[in-house]
Formats: sequence, structure tokens, C-alpha cells
Amino acid sequence: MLDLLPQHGVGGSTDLPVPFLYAVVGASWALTISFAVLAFAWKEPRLQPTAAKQPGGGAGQAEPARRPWLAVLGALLAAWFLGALFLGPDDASNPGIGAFYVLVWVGLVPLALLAGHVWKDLSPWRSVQWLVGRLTGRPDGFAVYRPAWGYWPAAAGLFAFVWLELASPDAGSVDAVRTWVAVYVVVTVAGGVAFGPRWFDRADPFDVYSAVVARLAPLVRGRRFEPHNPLRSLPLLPVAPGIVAAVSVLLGSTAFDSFSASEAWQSAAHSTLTTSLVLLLFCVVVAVAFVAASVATGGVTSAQRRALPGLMAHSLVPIVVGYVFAHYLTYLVERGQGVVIGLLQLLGTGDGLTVSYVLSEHPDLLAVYKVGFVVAGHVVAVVAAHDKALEVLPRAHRLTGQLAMLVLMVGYTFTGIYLLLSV
Amino acid sequence: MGTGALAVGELSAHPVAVLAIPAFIPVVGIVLTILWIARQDRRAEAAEESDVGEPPPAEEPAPHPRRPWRDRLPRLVIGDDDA
Repeated sequence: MLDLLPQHGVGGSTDLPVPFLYAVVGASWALTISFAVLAFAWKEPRLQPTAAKQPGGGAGQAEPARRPWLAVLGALLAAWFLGALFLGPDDASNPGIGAFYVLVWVGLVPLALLAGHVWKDLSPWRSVQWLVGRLTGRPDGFAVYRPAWGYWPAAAGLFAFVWLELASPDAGSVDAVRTWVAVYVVVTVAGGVAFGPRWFDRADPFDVYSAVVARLAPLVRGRRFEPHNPLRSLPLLPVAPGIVAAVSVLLGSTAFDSFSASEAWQSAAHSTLTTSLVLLLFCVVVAVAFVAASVATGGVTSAQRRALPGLMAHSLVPIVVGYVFAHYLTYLVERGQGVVIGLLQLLGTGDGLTVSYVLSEHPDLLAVYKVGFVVAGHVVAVVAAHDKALEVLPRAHRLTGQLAMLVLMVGYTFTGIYLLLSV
Repeated sequence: MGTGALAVGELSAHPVAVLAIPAFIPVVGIVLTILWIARQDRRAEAAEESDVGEPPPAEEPAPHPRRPWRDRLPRLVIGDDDA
């Protein structure tokens, strides 16, 4: 079986060039100081979108259509990965498993940061839906995707993935991955054909994950090359029911991944049911804490209060990205090389290539990166949340309405670094 | 104590608790400070509102600033107050 557990022994607390205490406490202090500076120096919203700052630079300008050459590339890559998974060996040497966990799941984040929501172009399932829609004369599907469903299907799909990775009996089993992927493909294509492209925007977990992270892409906006301040595109994340749940699954599962590698968890055997419930608990705690911190303000009506978690949800995205890089950087860079080599070997090439363990050979540098990614993600999140609070909270509650969120952010930082480095 | 077993009744704090205390000290300070300033601001505003339209009695001395220290503190109601 592939070693799917993160390499927690590398870049851990003992590799930090400063004592672990200083790292945890310093990160928490950095966040608090950042908020204090913002509170008294950043008094008006500066990042909220205006008509002139909409995607593409023009008011109301729509995103470009899917690019055919990228759709062809996506189909070829999907055929390569799926061919490796379903036609490759039935044991752990199957490179399709690594392609699924490392290249698709983890690689999706740097891809979205670098190239924006290019997943929309690459997605082979969107291509299938487009083709079926052309043939049937129903390009928008056969039914209306109800707005009330929001991102809930995507949240369920994301949880299904993290369950497979972290709580299923054998995440490295070829049969388990094949089954998961087969169910995912059937559900995604069927949903796309039934509900049209809207299904992918709201229900496909990988598509939604890419779209969410792409809001932080500094070079691409609206799927066009347009260098800009990513903090300006981050608030453009569409608000719909379930957005907090979807992002909380990403954040809570990463925390559980760290926790499940701890001595406290590893010292006892746990059933699949117990592991699944604890994973779910982590996601629920992250979501409930965020919702509670978002609504902890005065001066708003009940309807306004209910809308606040969705309006603030974009501030969780930098935290998710920070944790993904902190947690899975080694995995992506080093395991990813092995996966690519394995995939190339299926095509009869790549025999002379070897994996470079550039990060594992420098654990002190890796430890600093981990802390840096977590702190940077939270600081960006505090900036995003502060700017949104200036826009949506009543003037008299602009600061007091952020206090609960500040405490929560410090709590996330403290817990995240503690879990990340203490195992 | 020596390096042996803990004495009866001796408590050993969990490392998370030990770390959390210094980590959360500044955020507690920030929260308390902002809440305190907000409370003072709102009391002052309430007092100013109650004073509007009520001329002070002629025999009273010239009004002193109610809280001179407030002028040296940042106002919690941020933004352009005149807007």
C-alpha cells in the first residue's frame, strides 16, 4: 500500500529552528497583532468588488466559454489516470492511486492558484455533459438545479472523499479507490446531464474545490489572464447554502489528518465507525465555531445575522490553502514525483528518473514552511474577514462584531500548528 | 521533586494548556480593551444624547469634559463619523 499518511515525522516540532513553544505562541501573537493594526489603520472597506472590478475588468462581462484545447487535454489526462487505475496492477504499485490522491486532490490546489479555475476547462465530465446536451438538444439539462441545494452536494462529495482517504478501512486499496471513482463518475455525469452545467458549479466536489481556491489566484480572474490583488477576487466567491459546510469539510479533515497521526489516536485501535464519526465531528466543530463567531455581533436583524456566515465564508479559503500547503507539501513534491514516474513507466518511458527528496532532506526548512503557510493563511483570512466586516456590519459594531472571529482565528492557528507539528 | 514519580496530589498540566496561556494572552487583552472602549463610547454617546435640547442651568459652572482621557483613546466607532 502506498504510504498515504502524511509524513509527520518530517518537518516536525523537533526540526524547527526555534523552540516549539515560540512557534505556537509567536504565530498566535502575530495574528493578534495583525488584527490590532487592522482595527485602527484599516477603517473602510477596500477589497469589496465594484462593477469596474468584476471578472474580466468590465462590468457584467461574462466568463469565457470552455476552451476546446483544454477540454481535449483534460480528456487525455483523465484517460491516462483512469486507465492506470482500472487497467493497472491490482496492488499498491498501481500509479492510479497516487494520481488520484496526490496529483488530483492535492495538485488541484496549486493548479487553481496558478491558473485559476482551469478545472472547468479540463473537466472531462463537463465535456461529456456538453456532448450529451448537444445530442439531446438540452444543453442546460432536463431539470432545474434548485438554489436551495446550494453547495450541499459538493460538501457531501468532499466529505465522501476525505472519508475514503482518512476513515475508510483501507484507503490504499485499489478496489476501494476504483469503487469510489466509479461512483463519483456516474453521479457526476448523471447529475450534469440532468441539471446542466450548474451541477458542476455547485455539486462536483473537485470542481467546487477548484473554483473556491481559484479566487486566490493572483494572475487569473474570471478564467482570463489578469494579474490582480487576489484579496479583491476572494470576496467574489458566490454565496449559496452549504458554502460554509463545504469549506469546513476541507479544514476539519485536514485537522483530523494531523490529529489521527498523533500518539494519542494511534495508541488505540479504532473502528471505521468511530473514525468516521470523529472525522465528522472535526468538520462539524469547525463549521459550528465559524458560524457562531460570524453571527456574534449586535446591531443586525435576524435575517442579516443568518446571512453573515455565508458572507464571511470566503475568509476560510486562505486558511484552507495555508493548511493544504503546510500539511501536504512534502506529499505533493516528493510523492508526486514518484507518481508521475509510475505513470510515465506505464507508457514505456521514465525508467531513468528518480525521486528527489528535496524537502525531506531539509526538515528544518520544511518546518519553517509549515508554520509560515499556516500563519500566512490566517493573516490573509483576518484581512479578508476584517474588510468584509467593515462592509456588512453596522458602523457601531464594526470592531466588536469581529472579536469572536478574532478569537476563533487565533484558536484555529494555535490548534493547527499544535496538531501539525506536535506529532 | 526529584525525577521519580509524581507525588500524591501533584497536578501535571497538559501541554496544550501550558501553551494556550501565553498564546491567548494578547488576544484576551485586545478583546477586553476593545470591549472596554466600546462600553465607554456608548455610555458617552448615551449621555450626549440625553443632554441634547436641555440647556444647562445658569448657576452651574462651565461644563468640564466628562472624560478627558477619552480624547486620547481611539474611538471604537471607526470610519468617518461625519458621514
